[in-house]
Amino acid sequence: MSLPKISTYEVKTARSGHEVPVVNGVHLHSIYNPTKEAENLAEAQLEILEKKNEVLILGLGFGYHVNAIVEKLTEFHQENFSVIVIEPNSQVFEECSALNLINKKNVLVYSGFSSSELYRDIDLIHFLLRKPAMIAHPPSFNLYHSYFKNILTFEAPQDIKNINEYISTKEIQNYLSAFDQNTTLNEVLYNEIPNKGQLKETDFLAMALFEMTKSNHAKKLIMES
Amino acid sequence: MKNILIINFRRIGDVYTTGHLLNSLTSNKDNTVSLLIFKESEKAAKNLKGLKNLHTIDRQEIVTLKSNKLFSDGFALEQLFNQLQEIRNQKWDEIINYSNDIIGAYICSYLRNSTEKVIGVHFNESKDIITSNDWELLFNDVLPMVKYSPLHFVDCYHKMLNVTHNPNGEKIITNPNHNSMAFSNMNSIRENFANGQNPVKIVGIQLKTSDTSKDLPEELISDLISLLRETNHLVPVILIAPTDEERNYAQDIIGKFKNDIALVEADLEAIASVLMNIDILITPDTAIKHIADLTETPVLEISLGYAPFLKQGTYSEGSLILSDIISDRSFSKNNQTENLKTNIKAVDIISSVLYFFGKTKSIRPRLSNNVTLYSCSFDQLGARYAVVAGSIDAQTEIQRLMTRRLINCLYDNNDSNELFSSIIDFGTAAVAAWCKSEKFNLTIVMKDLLGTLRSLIQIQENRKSSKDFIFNLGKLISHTDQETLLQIPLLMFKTKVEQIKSKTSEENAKEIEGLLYYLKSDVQKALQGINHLEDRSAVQRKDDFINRTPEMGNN
Repeated sequence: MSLPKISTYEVKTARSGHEVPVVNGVHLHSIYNPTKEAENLAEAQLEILEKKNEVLILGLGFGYHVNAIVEKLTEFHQENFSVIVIEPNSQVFEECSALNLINKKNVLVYSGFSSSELYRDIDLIHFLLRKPAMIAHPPSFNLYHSYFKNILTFEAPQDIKNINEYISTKEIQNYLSAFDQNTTLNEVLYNEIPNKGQLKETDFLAMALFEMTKSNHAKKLIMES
Repeated sequence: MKNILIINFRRIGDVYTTGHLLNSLTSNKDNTVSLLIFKESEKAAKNLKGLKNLHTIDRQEIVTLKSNKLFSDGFALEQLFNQLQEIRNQKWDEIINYSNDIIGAYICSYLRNSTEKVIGVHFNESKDIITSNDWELLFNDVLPMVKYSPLHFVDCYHKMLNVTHNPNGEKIITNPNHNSMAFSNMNSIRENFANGQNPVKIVGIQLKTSDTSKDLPEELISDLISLLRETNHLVPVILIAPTDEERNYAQDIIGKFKNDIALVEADLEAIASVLMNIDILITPDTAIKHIADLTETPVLEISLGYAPFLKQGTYSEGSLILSDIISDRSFSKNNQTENLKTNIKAVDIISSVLYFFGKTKSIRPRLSNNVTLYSCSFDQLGARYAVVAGSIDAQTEIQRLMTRRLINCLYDNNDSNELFSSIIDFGTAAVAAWCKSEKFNLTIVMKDLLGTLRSLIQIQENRKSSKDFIFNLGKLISHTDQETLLQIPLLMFKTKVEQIKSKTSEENAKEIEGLLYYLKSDVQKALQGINHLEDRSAVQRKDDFINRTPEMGNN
């Protein structure tokens, strides 16, 4: 999935004096008072922000809502929190950074990444595995709806050829290279390795993975059928 | 110096049981021991004393990476690889597959090049199962088929590793603040209840297990608390984990006593400090029981559901186990029926507690019908559960103890008759009946064994006899289903036959012939044991006859 097409981009000044990006004619923040609007967004999420110290925000804009969320997280968790923001529009991010609008404490922004690029990033994956709170910035989410929908419903390619592009460990890449590149890891685990006459060292690792995950695979198969 | 890695992928309670082996291994100062577990058991493993390093596999993360379509499957394999790299890059003297499960077996096989020796089940390149001694076979293939395990699993691990069990030494790490707080709180309770007569004893009651079939019924707990409160020196203290579910459950119970019961909420780190400051723990089969064993807190285990106390019961000298009569129990999770009723009543529990604190052990508690009280003591093979009181299925108990004796004789070359006096306690008539039945069975097995040997020898003369041999071998192996004294040597024989790697028919025949002679020798040793028991029983009968009173003679 490619990044969303940006036809027009401009920056307006809100009545409160704050800068507001306008993309494809959509105002990403309130044209009256962006910080007040951001505070309201954070207030609406208080319960979850108290429970979780990791937050994934979909949409950066000029980051007023990010700052409001960071403020609440600091209140609840002091320094012990982290925020990741996903923003498809690099221009918005660059300008936001240039204007020094976001509080960068414990905040990491992924800007201009396609979904397949995002799901290759092991740090982001570890962050997602910890089940962070997810907060959408409504104007950004609506504007880039298909981009974010694609992120949320992404399906990683499963053939060995593509898997090898996702992972970075040489030894595992070499191991997987020995199998038919069009086959899947499941095919390897469920059929190819069990039918091997002689197992090599890493085959045992793969079999351990198979045993660890097979009931989930079975559940998945049942759900799919 | 030995650098040892123990792999234990089982649950929290089982991770705690590793503490006994860890303690025995590290009592040799030249040994360093590390542990590999699943991350979800980390809280338990962190409390084990003597660990050099704790390694974890984040199974939940790996399963999510593998099952969630968002992520490439390759990450699951890569993460597993990365999480094992630190271990793989070290040089180990021994890697022990303590959990003895299939994942442990594959991980051991994967780490084969990083160690001098693997103990416990693993595979070679041809996917054959590799075991290094009879104790491993006994543990993996034989004991799981035996209904009444004659041996505790912790002792099996010690035997597999040829390590002497060391009961001494601190096995668990405690927090000094928790120790001091627990001491102070329990001391306050003792002072509040002191009455100048009997010393106050604090009785901890563990409310919940991870499996409802093993839980003490709520009514039983309430009745028990009522009875404890009627005494003037036994003070109940309810123990719970810091979860809403347990809090609510405890509140329901405490509410019945106008909230006048002490409640202790402790996580896995703090519970050891609490246990060290109580006088006895009443518990079903839980991780807390295993922690109590490590802190040497006396335990009264109430074994319910499928809890397999004979192989995983409380493991400390003098601790007690209350069970429904074992012949009525099923120790398999798969055979459990819903709402399995227990005959154990609150009065049985309190009688057992009073017996525990009693100065003389000659007065044994009277228990409800079909309830048995066992005590844990240690002999040459490790923990042994002896019947203290209650209903007894004498034939099953004799069978269990004689099987234990046979294991000692066959696999530890120890022909000790020290169990005979406990066996004869079940009555000379019961012993005679058991010996008669076993000798009958032994004769049939020996006949089938000799028939198998004969037909094997005939194959060498006439290939057509192979049909007879296969028939006889099948007949011999069919005896493994029977719960007899020979079940263990027969299962061992069957396992070894199944492990024979396919070679020429002559080589296979030779190998089976060797195993048949080995089995024959085992059968003869079993017969010798039965004969010795009969001799001892005859002496006892004679003594009983000489010592009987005239009144007894008239009866």
